[in-house]
Formats: sequence, structure tokens, C-alpha cells
Amino acid sequence: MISAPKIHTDILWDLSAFFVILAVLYFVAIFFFRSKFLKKSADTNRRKNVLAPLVSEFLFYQEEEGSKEEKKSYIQKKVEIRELIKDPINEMVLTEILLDLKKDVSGDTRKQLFKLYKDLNLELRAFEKLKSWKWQKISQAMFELTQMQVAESYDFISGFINDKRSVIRKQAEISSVTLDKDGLSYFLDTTTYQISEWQQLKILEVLSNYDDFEAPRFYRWLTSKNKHVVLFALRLIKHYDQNDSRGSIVTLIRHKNNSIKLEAINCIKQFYIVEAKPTLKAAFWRNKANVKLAILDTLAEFGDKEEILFLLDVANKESNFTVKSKALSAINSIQPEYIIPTEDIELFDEDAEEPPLNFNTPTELTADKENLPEEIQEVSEDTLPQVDIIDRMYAAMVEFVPKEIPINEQLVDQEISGVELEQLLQEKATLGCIADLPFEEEIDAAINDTDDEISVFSEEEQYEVCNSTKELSASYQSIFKSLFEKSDDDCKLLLLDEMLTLADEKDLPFLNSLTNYPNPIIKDKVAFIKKGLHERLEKPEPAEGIEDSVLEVLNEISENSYIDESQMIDDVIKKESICALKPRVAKSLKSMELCFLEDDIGANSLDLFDINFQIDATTDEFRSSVRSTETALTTEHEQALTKEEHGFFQKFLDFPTTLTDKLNG
Amino acid sequence: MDSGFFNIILEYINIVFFVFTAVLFTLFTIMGYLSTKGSLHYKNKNSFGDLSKVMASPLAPSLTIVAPAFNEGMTIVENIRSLLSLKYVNYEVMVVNDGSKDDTLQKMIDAYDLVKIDQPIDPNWKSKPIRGIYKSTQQSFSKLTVIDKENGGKSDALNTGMQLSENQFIGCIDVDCLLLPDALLHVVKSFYQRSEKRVIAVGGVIRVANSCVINGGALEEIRLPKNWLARFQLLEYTRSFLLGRMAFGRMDSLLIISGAFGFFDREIALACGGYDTHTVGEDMEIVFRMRRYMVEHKLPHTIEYIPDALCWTEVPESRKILVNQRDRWSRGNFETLYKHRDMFFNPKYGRLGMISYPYWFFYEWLAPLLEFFGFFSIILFYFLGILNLPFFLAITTMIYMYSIMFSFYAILWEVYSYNEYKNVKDILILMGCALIEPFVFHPIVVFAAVRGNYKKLFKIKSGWGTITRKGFAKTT
Repeated sequence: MISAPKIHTDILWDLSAFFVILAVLYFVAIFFFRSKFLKKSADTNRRKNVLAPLVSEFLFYQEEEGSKEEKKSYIQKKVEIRELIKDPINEMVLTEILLDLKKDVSGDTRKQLFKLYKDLNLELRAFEKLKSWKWQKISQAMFELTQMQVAESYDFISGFINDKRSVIRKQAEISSVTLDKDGLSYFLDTTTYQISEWQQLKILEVLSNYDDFEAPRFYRWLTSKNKHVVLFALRLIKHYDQNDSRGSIVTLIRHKNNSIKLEAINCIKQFYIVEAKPTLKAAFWRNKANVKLAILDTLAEFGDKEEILFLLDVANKESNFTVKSKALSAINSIQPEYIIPTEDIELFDEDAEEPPLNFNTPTELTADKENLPEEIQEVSEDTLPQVDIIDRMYAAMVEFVPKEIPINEQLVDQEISGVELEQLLQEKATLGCIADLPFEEEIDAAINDTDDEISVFSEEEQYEVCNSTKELSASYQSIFKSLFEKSDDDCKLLLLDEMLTLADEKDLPFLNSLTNYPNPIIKDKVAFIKKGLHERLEKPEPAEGIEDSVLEVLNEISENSYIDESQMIDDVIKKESICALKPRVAKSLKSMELCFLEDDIGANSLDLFDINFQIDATTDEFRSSVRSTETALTTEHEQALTKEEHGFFQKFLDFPTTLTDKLNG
Repeated sequence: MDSGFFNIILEYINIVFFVFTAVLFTLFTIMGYLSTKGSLHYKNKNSFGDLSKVMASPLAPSLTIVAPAFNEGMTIVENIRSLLSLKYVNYEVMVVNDGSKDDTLQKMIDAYDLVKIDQPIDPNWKSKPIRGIYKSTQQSFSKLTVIDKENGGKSDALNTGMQLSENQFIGCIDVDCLLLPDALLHVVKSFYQRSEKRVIAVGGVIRVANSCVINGGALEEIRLPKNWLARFQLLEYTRSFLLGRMAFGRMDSLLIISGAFGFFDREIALACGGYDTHTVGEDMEIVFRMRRYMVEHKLPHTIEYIPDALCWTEVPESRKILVNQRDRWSRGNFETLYKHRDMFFNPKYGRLGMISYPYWFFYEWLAPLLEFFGFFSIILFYFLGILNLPFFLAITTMIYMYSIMFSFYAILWEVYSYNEYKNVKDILILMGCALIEPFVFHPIVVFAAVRGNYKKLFKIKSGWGTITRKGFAKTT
């Protein structure tokens, strides 16, 4: 017969009764403890009220200045207080008072406080506690002795440095360092346990409170077998700026422990240990993201052109976004604005007609050494390419000037400096497309010129430059071409409508090229616009507006020339203007594009001219750099020209239209 | 059916209930013991020393507090002010405006002179699009970063903050929580005090701020809530945080950190993929995942629990909101347990698999369901005339007495450790709550748990729900 085990309900009732008893006990305990705490608190306060005035009198009593009666009273109080502290509670309260007071007093009064603690033999009680088996009592005693600066306790306390109970051990470490200046050395020499980060933080805080602390040479502990000691030593080395262990620090990049690696890298960065660069690069790929970030941060700090290759490689191969971003930012730290932002950049109407900045974008990066110009590694820090808006406008002038504004020969016959020419070469080298570079001929001239200076924009040269643009397909000279090709049919029709009012002679070839357009609606519209344009061009155009527009552009550029760099990012977004990029333009370079415009509109009073184009072509280094650039890029130039819609070539062609539009209002 | 056999089945059901109850009592008793031991150890260890001395240390780690905000326009400015006034140097407050429909963002912009800045964002990171990142133009608010993003829920907002932060540790808090000034110092200490194990997360006690006096973002006076629901919750929180979590912390088996006050090692949290956006119990789920990650990679680790009252929050005072909240907790619990079901009694996960997970399964998820169905079974049995009345009365009384005893113990421990509620009346009210809780408050919690499970079982779509808070400014 199957039967279930019986549960005696009596047991359940008994248990219920037991729980009731426990509940009642807890009920009583709640009020017992509550009243006990209140009573204890009141009692302590009462005792404090008695003892605190006595302590104050002791602290501020001047033995030399006191009268006979005062001295007598002082001795009486001393006897009185000694009597009082025979009661252990009073003794405890007095210690509490002294510990509290210690936080509030300094100088002689603090010394007096320490003296009083010893005079009243309170340290003996603490020493007694050190013998206790309870960890909380021992650590409390060590704390007390440390706070009261009982130097004699150092020998006792330092014995606890390798105690197996962590609370005691940690307090012993702090106390040893606090009580004796050599305590730190002793601790680092003897500890066999881990030193937690919190402990390191506290020890450093203790050390920072020493007035005249002469830090030992911490490199001594870089060879410790305790990795926590090594880590702490590195941190101390960094904190105390001990730049005498460069070799060891570099070696520690290879340590298995991540924290040690990170700290070593931080030291390298702080001490500018340039010789660590190869090790840093070698260690990079073997490490986790946080170490990689630290390495990149360090390379950004003191890396030079040689590191760009490596950083490009990182940016290409690294999958971690943060590391990738850091690599790009490191490149820009080494060579400012080598990479420009591309993410979430809004395209404005003006931008569509404007060539982009001559920079690399993150998506165009290459780590292929063959594709990277040699010059990038050879250029010294002071000749870093300052690629900026002026160069773009400068390039635009080549095409624009002969058409719209007569060139002032005096102004264009200025000289280009060696540095600036080298910058142009640098730009050419970086961009890898000869078509994007203005003044190709000037550069040639600079190389061949036996005099150390060359002139730019002589009449013949202008003519050559103009001719070079004429060689391009006539339809490419239309500002509408690129927009037309990127538009859908509806937009194309709208664009054609706009052409009726905005287009000029140079747009006619483009319209001609559309006469056989497949879409019949567009084809008809083209015929209509062409007819209308012919009619409009026969009438003379008013010229007044041009001057105003030019002045407007000039003012805009001028106003934005020296805005605070911190505002730049916002300005780029907010103002939607190329002028916002101007702050990075050096004053000496700024006026170049303006010189043509200003002369034409008679705005000399703006005093914006400061052309100083000088080329120092005397050095062999410079000449060789020019030649190597030439050779490397000739073939690329030809290839670039065959690609109609590609890169800077197309953008270069588009850019003058921006200026034209501005000038035309 | 043979009535003898039927009786045997009934008796076995009684035995199952009895064993279940006995195991529960044993566990709770062990928890009480461990929490007492843990609290005493913590108290002795931290009874001296001054944390604030290290707040500006060059070795002090960097922290980011991420506070998601959704339609918090009423209190956001004050709440941020409170977060900016914490006692620590190397920290950042990152408020993530999770597509608020009110004027939360505008209020922040106006109050803190915020301007949009440019910051690269990982295109591979899966969170809702960011509309803008803002920093203050004033140096005094340099610690503040505001992220404006499209609405994606709390987890998504926290993930965004986690991703954009560059600091070593990340704190995920509710923006309407009040942190005590030295909260971050305690957190840093907890992260940094261990050397043999990596502390991957730090959690703390959540205290009830209803009816407390709060002025200028600082807690001035602690008072017992006036609302009865809030009082019951206060008792429940005291039991849960002071005894339950403390005990699990002592055993190094914590599997949950409150979403209102949780700090994480950012590296590990990111390595695990951040918060799961498909669960409403994201605070529990991330801890499960981080723990698993460390165990599976054989990395020594721990989660620290701070018993000090560092975080104060408003609890629901309306029954409807309370039920919604507990319904969500229940669903989150179920989702997390189901997702990590391979941990159930899996020795590979040590105490997590053998103690913590089963505890959560049997006593946090299953117990309310058993209570609910047990209640109806009793009524049914009574009407069928097969109820073993003496056994029913005895076991019910025993459970009731145990619950009162355990609540009293929690109150005792609260008085012994912190003594926050100094009036005798307050303590008596709390004790009164303990006496009536099983009849008044507990059924609501059970109902909410059943509703949550029902929704989950029948895939009834239900999100976070809304908790309307009065705001600390109004509690003064």
C-alpha cells in the first residue's frame, strides 16, 4: 500500500511559536538597541563636554608665559584629566576628541596635540590594542597611532606589512608610509601581496602631504617580482617626474600585464621617450583596445611623418571604431588637417559648385607605401603643408581672373617663397594629382631658376595657364554641367530654367551638347533655353552689381579671418560658408586671392595685400624633393585627366563657379 | 479515481509545499546570517578613514554617470544640478535625452548654456540615431554632456552613453535619483579596493525618498513616507537590500544591480555588447551577461555591493503605477532567466549556476505563480471538501509568522546599522506594515507578477509603461 509521509502539524505550530518568539525578541531588540544608541550618544556628548574644554586649555597653554597660579592650575588639570581617563570610556572619548581636533588644527597646536596624546599615555592603550587578535582593534590602533604621529610605533606597525589579514595589512602599509619617510621604500621592498589601486591612491595621498619628501629613485622597483610593486613604481615615477629609467620603461611595454603596459606608455608619453616609437609600433597589434588607444595617444604626442604610414595602416586595418578614430586624430595631430571630417557633413548649394578641400578623407586613406609620396616623410616640422582655402582660391583664379577681372600686373609679379613653393609641392605630393596643382610651370621654373627666387604670374605664364584651361572640353567650362549630370529629370528641367537667367557664353557649348538629349521634354527645353540665352546675351549686362558682390565677399572673408579657433567647428556647420575655414590661414598668406579682386574694385584701403612668395630653391634637399615629386606624379597626372568625373579634377573645374556666382551676386 | 490514491496525491502536494517553504525559510535564514556578517564586516572596515581625501588624486579613475531622460522637463534642471555637485573630481555627467516629447532638451540648453559640438560616433554601434551632442559653454558645467537622440528606450539610451563615454567606469542611474555627495567616492573605492579579482560592477542600496526633505539637490531630512504604498515598499526595499543583496554580495553571487544605481567597468560592459534592448529587465540581464562573459573567459571577477544609503529615489504611490512597475520587473525577470537558461544548475558557473540562478528561478519567478495558483486551489479544495484544514492553517500561520519575524529582523538591522528613522512612531509604523503586508501589499505584488507572466506567455505587447514622479523639488 502506497502512503505519503505524514507531516505533523504540531511541528508547524511549534515552528510558528518559535517565529513568534523570535519576532518578539527582535521587537525588543529594536527598541533596546535604539535606546542604547541614544543613551550612548548622550553619554559620549556629556563626557565630551567635560573633556573638550580641558583639552583646549592644554593645547593653548603657554608654559613660558604663564604665571605661577596658571602653572598650578595647569598641573591640577593634568592630574584631573589623568584621573578621568582611568575610566576606559573617558579614555576612548578623549582619544576621539583628539582625533577630531587633529583635523582642525595645524602647526604648533597640532604638535601640542601630539604631545598631549603621549603625555596622557594614550599611546600605551593603542599599543595594547596592537596585541589583540581582533583585526578591527589592531587596525583601529594602527590608525590612531598614525594619526597621532607616534613615530615609535613604526617598528611595531611595519611588522604587519605582510599580515595575511587584508584590513590589517593595508592599514600597516598606510601607517608605515605615514610614520617614516623611509617607510615607502621598506614597504615596496618587503611586500609580497598585491597592492590594490585604492591602496596606491591612498599612499600617494599620504606622500603628497609630506612637506619635504625626497622621493627615492623608483626605478629600483621596476625589477621587482611583485607586479603590483612594478605598477606602483611606474606610477610614482610618473608622479615624481623621475626621468632616469627610460630603458626599463620602454621594456615594460612588453610586459604581460595590461596595467603595467598602460602605465609604461603613459610614462613614455610624459617623458617624451622618442626612442620608444619602434617598440610602441611593434607592440600595437598584440594589444587590447585600451592599450592601442594609449599607444596612438602617445604617437600623436611626439610622432612625426614617419608614423603616418603606420597610423594609416591602423586606420585601414583596425576594426574597432574608437581605435580607428584615434589613429585618424593622431595623424591630424602630427600633420594638422591631413584628414578632414566627412561624416554627416551637409551639402549646401554653394558646396555643389565649390571644389572640396584638398585633404584626405577617412575613406580615401591608403597605407600603401608606394602610393604615399616620399615627401611626406621628408618634410620637416616647420614646412608642414598648410593646405587651406587660399590655395583653392588661388587655383581658381587661374581660370577665373582672365575672364572676369583684369589682372594687375604689378601684383601678380610677386615672388613666391621657397617654403610656400614647397608647400605647394607637398600638397601635390599628398593629393597625388598634378591637375589639382596650380603653377606647375612656376614650380618648374623654380627648379630651373639659377637665381634663388622666382616670379609668378608673369604675363606669358598667365597666358599659358589660361591656355591650359582652354584645352579642356568646352562643355566642362559650364558651371551647370556637373549639377545637370547629377540631377534627375525634374531637376534637370529646373536647372535649365535657371540657365535662362544665369547662364552665359561658356554655357552655350554645354547646351549644344544637349541638343540630342534622349528625353524629348528635356531636348525641347534645351532648344528653348538656348534660344532664350542667345537673345539675352545680345543685350548688355549691368556691371554695377559686381563690385558690390565682390566687396561683400571680401568683407565676409575679412570678418572671418581671425575668429577664435574654438569656434571653428561650429562655424563651419552654422555659417555654411567657406569663409569659416579662414582662421587657419596665416595672415601673410591670406591676401593672395584678394589682391586680384581688390585691385579690380579699387579696395586698396583694406590693406589686405601681403604677398610674399619666395622660394628658397638653394638647398639640395628642396631641389631633390621637387624632382622626385615631379617624376612620381607625371603618370598620375595623365591618368587623372582621363577621368572626367573623378576627384579633384572635376572639383577643380567646378570651383571657379562659386566665386563667379558670388561676384555676380 | 480511487479516493485513497487521490488522497495520497493531495498529501504529496502538501509535502511539496512544505519542502518548498522549508527550503525558502532555510535560504532566508542563511541570507539573514550572511548579511549580518557582511554588514558587520563592512561597518568595522569602514569605521575610520576619510574618503574625501582621495577625491582629487591623480590616480583617481575617471567616471561617467549616464542618466537617460525621457519627458523629464519638470525636474531635469534640478536633477542635473544635483548630479554635478557630487564630491569627486574626475567625472562626467552624460544626460541622454531619449527623444523626449516635452521641453527636456530646451530646458537643459537654456539652463546650462549648451552648444552643439562635433564628436565622432561609431557607425557600427547599434543604437538609435543621435541628433546632437551638447556641451556647456560655461566652465562650471564642463562636466556635463547632453546627448540628444531619437527615442529607443532606456537600454538604448544607456548604450549610447556607454559608447560615447571615454571613461574607465560608467554609472547608469535614473536621472531623478538623488545621489549623496560622496556616492562616487564609495563607488571608486569599491572598484579599486580589490587586487586579486577584477570588479566588473558595483551596485548599491536604493532608499525611498518619498516625503523626505530635499533642498537644492541635497537630502536634508529623512522622513517616513506618508503614503501607505510607499511605506510598504520601504519595508520591502529594506528587506531586499539590507538582507537579500547583502547576503548575495557576501557570497559573491549577485546577479542583479539596480537600474537606478549601477556602475560598470566600461570595457567589460562594451565587450558584452552593452544593455540588451529587447528586454525590459535590462539591469538584471547585463549583469548576467557580464558574469557569464567573465566565467567563460576564465577571468577572476566580482561584483561589489555597497550597503551604505547612497541613492534615494521616489517609489510609486499609486497602485496602478506600482502594478505596472512590478509587471515589468516580472517580465524582465522571465526574459533574463529564459535567455540564460543554460546556467540553471550548471556547475560551470559555480555559485551563480548552483545557488543564484535557482534562487531567482524558484523564489523570485516561480513563487508568486505558485502563491497565485495555490490560493485558488485552496478555495477549490475547500469547496470540494478535500482541503486538509489543520495542515493549511498550521502552514499558513507558520509562513505568516516567519514573514513577520524576517521583516522585524530587517527593521532591527536597519536600526542597528543606519538608524535612519529616529522617531519611535516611524519604527512602529514600519512594524505595523510588516504585520499587514501579507494581506494588503503582497497580493498586489503577486497579481502584478502573474500579469507580467501572462503578458509574456501570450505575447501581449507591453513596454516600459510610465512612472509619473512628483519630483524632488515638490517633495520639500
